[in-house]
Amino acid sequence: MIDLIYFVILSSILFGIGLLGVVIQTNGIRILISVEIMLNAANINFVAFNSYLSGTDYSGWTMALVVIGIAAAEAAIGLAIFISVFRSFGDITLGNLFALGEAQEVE
Amino acid sequence: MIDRDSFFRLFVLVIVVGLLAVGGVLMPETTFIVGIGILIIITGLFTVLETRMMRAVIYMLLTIILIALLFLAANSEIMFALELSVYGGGIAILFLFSAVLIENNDIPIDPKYLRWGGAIMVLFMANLMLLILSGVPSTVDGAIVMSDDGLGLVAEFSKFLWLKLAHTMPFVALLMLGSLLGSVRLALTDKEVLMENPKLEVA
Repeated sequence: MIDLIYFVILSSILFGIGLLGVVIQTNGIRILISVEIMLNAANINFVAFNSYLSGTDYSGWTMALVVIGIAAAEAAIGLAIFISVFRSFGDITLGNLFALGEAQEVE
Repeated sequence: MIDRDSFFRLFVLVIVVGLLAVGGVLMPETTFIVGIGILIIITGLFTVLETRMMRAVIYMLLTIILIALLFLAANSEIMFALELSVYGGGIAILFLFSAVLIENNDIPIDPKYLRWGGAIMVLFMANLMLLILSGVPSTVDGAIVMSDDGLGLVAEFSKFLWLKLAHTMPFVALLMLGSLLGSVRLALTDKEVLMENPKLEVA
């Protein structure tokens, strides 16, 4: 089987790509998509280490399952928040949201 | 010159037909895993850099499918099924419907953010690579080969995580409870209600 380091390098590159997305995107949903990519990168690590290091122990799979569950919950809640914000303000660009909040306070 | 739409369709076709149907059967395992890894990186980059929301979600879905294939190649059949069903069948579809509801389609990326984001990513990757390459143990015929001073940094950290696994569960559960309560609070509060009753405004 392929060496373990290839999985670790792939996971780290994917994590960096997700981080790049979080930094460069201003749209809330696009940021959530980038966070999902980062979580998937962590999952690759868990599954790869479980395959290589443990014979009958499935801790890596369990942790990956927890991560998937958390990602699903976070995606659902985050998207509900952003859709609610879009319905109220018509925009989910994060910079504009803060400006809208300041404008409301002034009024 | 191929336009963006044609490139998108061609790319999806190449991945779906070429890799899934043919590659998995004919390629040696190492080549298959390396090929999937390269495609994961490419689709991940497209997800982040694509300006159109729907296309970005489709690229994310492709990334998830390829990651599931990677799990299958790493002898993790259950994770392959879970990744496809939960991530691909649930989360990605959630994003797809949200993209439809938001109606913001073509969102350009600010070049200033791209420069700063690229610099941060390069610094982060350089740090991470240094940690990984100095610490990961090598494998010989699937067995971990220990160095003279014991296991590498990454393996030690993974052992620490798994041995302390029981401590993370209640903490994770508390986080999820907090997020659920917060979402209920937000769902119950509408903009008109806030305008009528300023006392309900969150400080």
